[in-house]
Amino acid sequence: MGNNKNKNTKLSVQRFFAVIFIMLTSFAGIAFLGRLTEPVNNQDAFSTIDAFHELPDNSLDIITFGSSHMWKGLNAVKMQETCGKKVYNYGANWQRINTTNLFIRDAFRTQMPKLVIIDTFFACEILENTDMNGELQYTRRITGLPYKLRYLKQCFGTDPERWLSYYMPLCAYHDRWKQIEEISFTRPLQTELFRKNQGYCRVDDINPVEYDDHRWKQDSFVESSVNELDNIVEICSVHGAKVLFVTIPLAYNFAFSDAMREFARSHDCVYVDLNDYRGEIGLDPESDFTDEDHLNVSGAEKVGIFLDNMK
Amino acid sequence: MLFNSVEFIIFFPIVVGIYFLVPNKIKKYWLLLSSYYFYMCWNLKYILLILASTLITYFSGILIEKSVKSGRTGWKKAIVAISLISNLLILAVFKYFNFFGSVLQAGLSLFKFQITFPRLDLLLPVGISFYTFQALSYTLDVYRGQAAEKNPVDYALFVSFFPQLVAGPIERSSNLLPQFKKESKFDYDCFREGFFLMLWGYFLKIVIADRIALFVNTVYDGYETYTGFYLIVATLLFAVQIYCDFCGYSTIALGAALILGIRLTDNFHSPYLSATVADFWRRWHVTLGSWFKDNLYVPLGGNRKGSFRKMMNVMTVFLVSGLWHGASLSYVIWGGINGLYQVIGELLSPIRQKIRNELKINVKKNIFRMAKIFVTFLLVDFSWIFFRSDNTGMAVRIIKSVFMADNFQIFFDGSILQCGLDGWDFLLLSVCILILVFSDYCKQKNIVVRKMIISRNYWFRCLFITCAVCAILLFGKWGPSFDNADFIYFQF
Repeated sequence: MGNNKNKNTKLSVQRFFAVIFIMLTSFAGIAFLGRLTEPVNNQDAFSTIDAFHELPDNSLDIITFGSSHMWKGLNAVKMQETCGKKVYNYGANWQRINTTNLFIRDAFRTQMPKLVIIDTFFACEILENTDMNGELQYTRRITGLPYKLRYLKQCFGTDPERWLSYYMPLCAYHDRWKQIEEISFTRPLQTELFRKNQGYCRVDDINPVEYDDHRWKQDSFVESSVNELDNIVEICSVHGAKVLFVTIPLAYNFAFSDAMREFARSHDCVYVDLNDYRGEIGLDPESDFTDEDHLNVSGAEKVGIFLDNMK
Repeated sequence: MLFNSVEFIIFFPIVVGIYFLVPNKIKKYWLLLSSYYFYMCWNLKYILLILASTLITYFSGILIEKSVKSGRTGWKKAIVAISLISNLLILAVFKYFNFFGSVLQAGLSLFKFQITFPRLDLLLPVGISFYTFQALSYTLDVYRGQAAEKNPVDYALFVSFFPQLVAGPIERSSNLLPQFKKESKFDYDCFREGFFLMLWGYFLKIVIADRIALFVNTVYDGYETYTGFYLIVATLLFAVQIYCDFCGYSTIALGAALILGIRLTDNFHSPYLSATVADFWRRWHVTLGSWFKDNLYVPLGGNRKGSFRKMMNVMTVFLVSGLWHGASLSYVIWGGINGLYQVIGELLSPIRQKIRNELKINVKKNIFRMAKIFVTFLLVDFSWIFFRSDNTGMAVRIIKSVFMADNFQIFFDGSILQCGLDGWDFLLLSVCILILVFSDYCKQKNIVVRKMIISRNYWFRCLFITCAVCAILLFGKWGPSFDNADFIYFQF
């Protein structure tokens, strides 16, 4: 009888460890497959965020934020050379205004810049009520920020599957099993390159554009955008940083420049629509653009010099 | 909440965990509460319908037993009639009111009476056909002499037990009620077997059924564009989809119940390996077939009143079964076709026997059996056209397109890969369908594949389960960017 009891106890212990083992290996498998199926086109965004986090604390004087328009459109190294101040271009693809808010708060954890320059292309758009996408994917690199919970609530609401897809990539990306390739395993980062370029995403392609100077019907911001902009101005003020809103030059005009001017005026900050200064910047539509929305390395250099001269 | 949702993946372990932690006396209250919560996640108000059905049939059972003891057989019949009428009335109002209204309207217009019947804008309560039939089967069983259930909690749990509440299996009280009365302790073997069943169910549903749904929905929703061979492929795949969808749900239900220590009835016995349509219906949705046999076919006389009466009874059962599936003429026609197959099969049986004798066909040969299985599959699949179509007109146009198919080139010019599934999906589906056929073949031969796996060594089992979980999550159709397909049978 004693033997039977020992056997049963041993069996129960074995079974318990079997369940734990299976759970652990399953979680490991899920994590591995999640990493394998994640899209590979955000490596640059991951690199710039990692490079920023590796900077020494309080080592920056100027930080720029915004979507790819800023990220590709302002050469931080050139600006740094010209003005003698430490500059970092903390932009990333698609950065809507609430994602910019997240990046700014992340930046203030370790840096105390005197000036924050924000591109306004997506000032009119909030990332909300959405499934997992590329923009949310790279925000996973920003960890330990209490504000992030508010940001994710804004994006996902109360949908448990969306929340799960953020923390368990396999949930979001399992359908990409058909796109697994060699780079899915290696996922090379270019942290060193982005550190060297001070976050700037260099584009060498030249694609001539034609300026479309037709003045678009000016639109006004929705309340949620204004709230985010308010929040940004407030957080910068709390950290003693001046705010400069800019619209990085495009091949066409910006439909929210009047709204931005009004906001800047009412909040005692500065807004400059650089589309009005294409000539002064010295932009050449034949050689300074990579497409209608983005400047190449030549155009980005000119913008960097112009902004320094403007101050 | 759907079985293939995050909410259920959170809900179920909590229910199981607390179930095995609370004292035995509390267990059924906890299960009942969980079941009602499960149902209320669909629609809060409709819990009143299930409560109404529970109360009516519970008291009917007690009153029937009392009337038998007091020798009042007239009362007994009246009570059964009240129970049947009130439950079927609820079903009729919520499910069939608009259908009967439109049929009556159409019928009267043939006689030049133009009357507009009012339409009710009521959301169909999930699972109403299932729990209504389950509750009615209890009433009829008590009428036939089974002891009535006195414990209201046990009875309420019988009607509302969440694994089988919304899409079956339709359980008999003699199977389920005794299990609720037994002392329930955690059983590792049941847990393991239940887990394997749930894994298999999720494989069928989210890897196979939901994947096929992408193609079938694209083609059937655009059937005027996707003609001929598109529709043939979609119809063939729909046969697999509906099987995997319904069997997947039932298997998850079986597994979930088994983890809780409750054994439900297996609803599917390799139906597509049937050699005749009659055999198919003995293997497909077994519990519904059994319900109709005991409560409609046999009371109508069954096969005891001659061949003609038998055929009429078969047709009646299948027409009613079609109606049970949906308030639409196309469902009734679907049921009727399946009934007709069996009637014609019975009528032609002597002729088929004569042909086999003349041609000296050895019926025991595998090739003959495979041919019969293939023909049965085609006949059943043809009837699925009416089941899947939105209405009869659409079904007729699809059938016409199928028989006039002349666009064979879609298999060579890549067009077939533009309907929701690409080459990789079709390759994966082929592998999955082979696994399904193998599993069904083993089941037919009474080989239980999960027992074979369980009998292997510890490391093999651990590796198998890990790989199965990862494969289902990797290849399954789920997640926020995928619109979860409801289980098809939820709409009934």
